Amino acid sequence: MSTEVNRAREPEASFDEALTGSLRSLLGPLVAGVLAALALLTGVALLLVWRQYESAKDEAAAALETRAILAATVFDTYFAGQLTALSAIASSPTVVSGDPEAMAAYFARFRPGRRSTFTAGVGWIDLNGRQRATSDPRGPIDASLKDRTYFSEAVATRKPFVSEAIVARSTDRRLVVMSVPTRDSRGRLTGVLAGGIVLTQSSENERASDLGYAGLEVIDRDGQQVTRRDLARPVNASLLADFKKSKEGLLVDTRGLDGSGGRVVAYASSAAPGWTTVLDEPASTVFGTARATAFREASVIGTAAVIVLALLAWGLQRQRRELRAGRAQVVRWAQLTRSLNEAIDADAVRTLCASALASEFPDSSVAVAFEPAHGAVGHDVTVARGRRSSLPTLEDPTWMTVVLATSGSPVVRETSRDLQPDGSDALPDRVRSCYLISLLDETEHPVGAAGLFFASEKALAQHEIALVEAHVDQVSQALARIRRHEQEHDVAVALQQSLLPSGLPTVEGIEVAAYYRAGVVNTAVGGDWYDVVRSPDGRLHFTVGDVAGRGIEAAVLMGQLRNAFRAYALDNVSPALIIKLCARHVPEDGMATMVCVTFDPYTHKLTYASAGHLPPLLLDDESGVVSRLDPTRGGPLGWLSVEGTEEKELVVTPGTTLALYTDGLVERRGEDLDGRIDTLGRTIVEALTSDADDVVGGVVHRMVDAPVGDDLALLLVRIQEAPGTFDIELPAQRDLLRGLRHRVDTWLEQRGVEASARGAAVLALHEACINAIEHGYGNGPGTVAVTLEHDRNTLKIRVADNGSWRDSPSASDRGRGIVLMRGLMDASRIVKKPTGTEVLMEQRLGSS
Amino acid sequence: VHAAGEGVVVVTLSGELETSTAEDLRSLLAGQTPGASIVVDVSRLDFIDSSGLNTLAVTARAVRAATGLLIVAGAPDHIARVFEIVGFSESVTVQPSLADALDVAKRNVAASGQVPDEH
Repeated sequence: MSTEVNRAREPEASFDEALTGSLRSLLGPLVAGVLAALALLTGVALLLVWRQYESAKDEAAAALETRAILAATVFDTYFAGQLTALSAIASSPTVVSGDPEAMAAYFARFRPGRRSTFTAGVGWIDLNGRQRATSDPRGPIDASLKDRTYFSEAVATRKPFVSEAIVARSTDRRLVVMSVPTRDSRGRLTGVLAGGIVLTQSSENERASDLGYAGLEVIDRDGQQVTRRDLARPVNASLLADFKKSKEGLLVDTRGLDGSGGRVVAYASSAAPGWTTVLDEPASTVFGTARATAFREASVIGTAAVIVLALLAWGLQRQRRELRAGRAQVVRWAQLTRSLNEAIDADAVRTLCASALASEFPDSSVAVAFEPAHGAVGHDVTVARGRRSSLPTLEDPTWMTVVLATSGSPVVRETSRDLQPDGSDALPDRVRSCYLISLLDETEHPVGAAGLFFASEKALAQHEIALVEAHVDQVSQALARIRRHEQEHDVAVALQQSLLPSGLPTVEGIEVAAYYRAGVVNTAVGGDWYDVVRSPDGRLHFTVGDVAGRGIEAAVLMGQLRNAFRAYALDNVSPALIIKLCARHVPEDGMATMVCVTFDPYTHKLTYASAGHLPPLLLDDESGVVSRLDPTRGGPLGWLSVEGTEEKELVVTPGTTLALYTDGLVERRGEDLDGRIDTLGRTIVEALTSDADDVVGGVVHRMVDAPVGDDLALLLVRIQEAPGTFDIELPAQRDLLRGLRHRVDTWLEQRGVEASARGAAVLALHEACINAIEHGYGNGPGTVAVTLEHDRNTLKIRVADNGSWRDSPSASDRGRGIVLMRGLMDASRIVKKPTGTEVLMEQRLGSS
Repeated sequence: VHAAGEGVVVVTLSGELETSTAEDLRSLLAGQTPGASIVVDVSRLDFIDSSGLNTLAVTARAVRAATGLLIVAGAPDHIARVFEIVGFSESVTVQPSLADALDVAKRNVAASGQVPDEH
């Protein structure tokens, strides 16, 4: 036999939840911990980067401020030097003398020009605000300078002063004018000495640019931007107020001089000129480096974090995959174990083994071969293909067992390299390597082989071989269990079958049909039985019984009870007595119910008794009316005393069916037993009127859903017209003749024979029987065979014994008997043979 | 069994007189007063076989020997037919009814001491 399976059933996913759940519950916190640590590290790193960035920003801002201060200091120093120079000139004797002519001559050395200390020249203004002397070759300005700040401030404060930027009236140049008061030799104020410098725009700014002073702006005391050609005032005038608050400072993320946002402004004031030096740069420029650095570092940290996360995710994924694979394997294993435990035959075990191995090794094809069981020929083989196997379906791999047998090792690896030159060990088509494993029974005796076949030179890892061996071990155990159960079951079934009737007696006018099911549950047969016995006196004895329990013990008790029944029934023991006698066979811990019915087919008298069994049914074939036999007192055998067992009798009419059955037919979980018995009655009536061939089979099929299950027995007795032949044997005892006469009379009455003819026939028969008892056996033991045949108008009587004729001590009396026979019957003769005597009589009957 | 006047006993049989019950009847009849006449009423007898007939015949002989008389009376049809078949009236006095039988019995008692008819 060979079967192929493709895949194991999808396992149920309930078993392993607990197992994987615990792993999962461990993994969760682990992952959470790693993620938290990673987040913490990244956070700290980013914080450091942030702080470094902040610090770099501060540094950049400080550098900006420093540059502003530096510039302011330069300006201060410069103007202080200029003022010192101017004061020196003012202290010169020429200026002290107050002589304009002399001063003009003296001032000639300070002619305006690029190389001059005072590029716009110097001049002396008297207290009236008139320029009296100048270094300008064009001569003194002919205008009052009283309104000029450099004049008024110097006079008022008597201290040097530097003016705001002013535009020269004649030259349109932008100037800054410094002034110091002049005194005479007695220290009296004489006027103001002023020196101007020209603010040259472009070159100044270029230098500033070279020195890193891009964005440098200088604002004079009047709020003019001296660095601008037009001396424009800043658009953002609010900054000027900020500048006045301190000598120097830094404004971050503020609006710039031109009103644009996002600027960093550093400022510092120079006391001498009253200038404010401003470095106004976009924040992006100032903090560019810091930002770039921070971004670079953050990028590095982020990349590292992403890499770590990716690694973590990969590891997790891998772990989950392994977990899933492990879980699936656990599920498959549990499924296999369960299935093997439920397997009822070796075929199922083989199929399970093959498909399980094919599931574990998807790239393999699997073959499992079992040794032939119980003298059968040829191995039983199942092949299966893993879902990734590229091998063709294997054919007849029974050679595996030969290889294993010769190797002496439980696991053999064969590869294409192992091939013998003569090809004797040739692997199957396209197989490059295979593993062969012995299946051993509990005595380590090989009972088969399993083979894994690969299309490549596959070498299984140690744990994979262990997995295969675990499978094989399970299969071996299951197989051993099944073999044990099979043997036990075979014994039980054989025992039971041997104990059940091999055939049913056939009696004219009676139709007996039986259905029996052993009801195998876990190889244990049940204890139901039935039997039909025809005793020599022509009566039929029916029984149906049920031994509680299963297995060999139940079968043995069932057999004992059935044999006892047979023995007693053959002796024509009455039903109640049969039950009482059967009770002796039931052991103390046993229990059985049974019902016994004796039926006389000639008189239609039915006698019955029950030992706690379900009530037999009587069915009127014509009307369909179902009735139960009146209950009789009597409990189960082995349960209650059988002393009170009661017997009842009734006469049934032709066209009645008697039904005996066991509980397997009517008991159904959750249903009322009485209702089920009524259902059984209706079902039988329907089956009887349906003309079906197999009435009992049909009834069982309709009453019982499951094809296998509890054991059950059903016995149907259809009682028809009284038979045309009365054929019995009875012991040669005078006291039995009365019963015989009664039975024959009833039978003849049933057959429609009128009373006087019945009387004559009964008397003639009686005399013939006495004849046999007296002359055949000399009143000793023996058997008398009585046969009456009746058809429409003839009655034939035959009475035979196996004795040897002997003369009666009262021969004259017997003479009367013979006279009677002759006188009563139309014809009669006595045939004496060495083997016995036969009385043959015949009578014609009037048509009735 | 009951007395029906002096020297006359009436034995009423019912049921079946056959091989297993005949011996009882034989003992019963043998236990009667010697010389008394016995009327056996078989009107309620269902069945009689050769053993029953023999018992009656043998007893009749014994009763006669003691100057009594045994009369079988009231045989229904099926029994009368049996009597006819075996020629029962040749060995036993048979009367159709109990009344007739009692008459004959009383006459026999009246003729007591006389030689019986048969002799």
